[in-house]
Amino acid sequence: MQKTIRSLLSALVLGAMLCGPAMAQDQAEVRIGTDGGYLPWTSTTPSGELTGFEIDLAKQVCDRMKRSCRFTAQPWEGQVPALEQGKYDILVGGIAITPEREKRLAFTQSYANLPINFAAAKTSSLNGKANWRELKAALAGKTIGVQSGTQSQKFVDNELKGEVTVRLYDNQDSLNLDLLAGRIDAALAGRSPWIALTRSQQGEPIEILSPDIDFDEFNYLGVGVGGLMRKNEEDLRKAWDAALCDLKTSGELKSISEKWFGFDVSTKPDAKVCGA
Amino acid sequence: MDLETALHVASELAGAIWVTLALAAVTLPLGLILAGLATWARRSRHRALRGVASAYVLAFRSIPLLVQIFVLYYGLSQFAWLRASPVWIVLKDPFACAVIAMSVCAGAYTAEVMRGGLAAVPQGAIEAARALGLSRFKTFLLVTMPIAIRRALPAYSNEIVVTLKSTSLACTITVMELTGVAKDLMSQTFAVIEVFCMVALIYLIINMVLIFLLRLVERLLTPPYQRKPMLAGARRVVSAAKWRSIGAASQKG
Repeated sequence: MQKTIRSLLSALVLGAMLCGPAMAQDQAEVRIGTDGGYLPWTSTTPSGELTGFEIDLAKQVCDRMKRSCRFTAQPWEGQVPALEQGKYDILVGGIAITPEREKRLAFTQSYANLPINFAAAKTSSLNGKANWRELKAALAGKTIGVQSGTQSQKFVDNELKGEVTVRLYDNQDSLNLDLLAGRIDAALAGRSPWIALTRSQQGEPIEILSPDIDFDEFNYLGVGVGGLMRKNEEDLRKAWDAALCDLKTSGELKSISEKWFGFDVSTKPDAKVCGA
Repeated sequence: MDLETALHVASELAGAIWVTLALAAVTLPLGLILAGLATWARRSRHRALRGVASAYVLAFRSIPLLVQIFVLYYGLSQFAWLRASPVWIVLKDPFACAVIAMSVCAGAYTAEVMRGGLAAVPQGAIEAARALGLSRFKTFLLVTMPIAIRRALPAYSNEIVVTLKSTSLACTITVMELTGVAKDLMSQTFAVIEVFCMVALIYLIINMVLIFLLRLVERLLTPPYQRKPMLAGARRVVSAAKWRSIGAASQKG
């Protein structure tokens, strides 16, 4: 009897010794939350699969970290609470890095940055202004639409408060619909959704207005787009950042960007994270 | 959330209360008028009129309000001929769209409330009024309606509260009422729990006041001999004390 117990125990100990290291190596999968409705950043195919610039990028990062990843699509409003509750480990989806957000959560290094643009109907005669000052004068008294919680909204709040009527939208699709219907005179958003809209058949009457609103000129707009995560996940952040450094220096990030945007939106490796 | 943010959030929300109240204040009378028309039509002698009214009530009670708002706002704007017509002056405005969608929906529900109120009027009372020689119209005005209103009021006060809460759907079409402002503040500050708790508290206070006022109206419309004391518990304590003091006085004597 005693012998059987002893052999059982030793088997258990042996088993634990064998399993231990294996379990440590095989970490839990990384749960990635994303919008799934913001071409070309992330988008959902008719068959329900997620595609887009950030999906390709995140897959590359996961490969380099040697960890399995799972993507889930959820509207932006619910993503941050879900992240804080631990339903996701990281959020991607054109999320701008801002000081207010950094107070509460952590960002990876930025991986993309592209200007924001106004768009309006071709008949509006708002296009062709040489600089922001001229465009601002032309926009006075108009109704402007932006997506809530974006850098575009921040820009409108900072530069046009009191001079225009601002309408806030939950998502880019609703914004597009109201711009096409003429309920708003102009709309502000990242350059990429406007490219997608003006290339589509229904977006034919819309044009992108010059000039570009550059993040360098209005530095409160931040340093670009990054992955958003909880502050207590230092290990994942370091691994993610290291993979990003690698993708940036190897030029792979640039090629993913060109595949989805048609031009390079990638940012330079962050010297603080990647070293010199 | 630090104090500065809390004050900022509170002042923004306070400003939005008026939009919410305005939406409800415009919607409720319009809904009442629509419901009155529907109820009248449903009791009409003409079958076609009854059919139209019943179809209206059925359709708008069955379709979710959010879908109604979306169809009215984003759906109709797809048609170029509609955008060229004078109707567009109204439909272009998000506030007007919200009011229209909500009134039509509230009208359908209120019509059901009215039907319930009318069904609760005892047939005997109407027959008695007719036997006394009152005309159909006078019977309705002096007998049927007062009883029906009294019976329908509890259900209608529920409808008022529901309408006030459903104004939160207007934020989906860019009307910046309480919930819309809260969502905006949330994405600015990320203080999700704090902002939503404040919003919940504001809705709670508004509805508490509303419900209290509606109870008051209900009491005023009840005949005095049927009235129950509003603060029943307090009255009981007072009367018990009175009995005790009377008892004490008699013992002394």
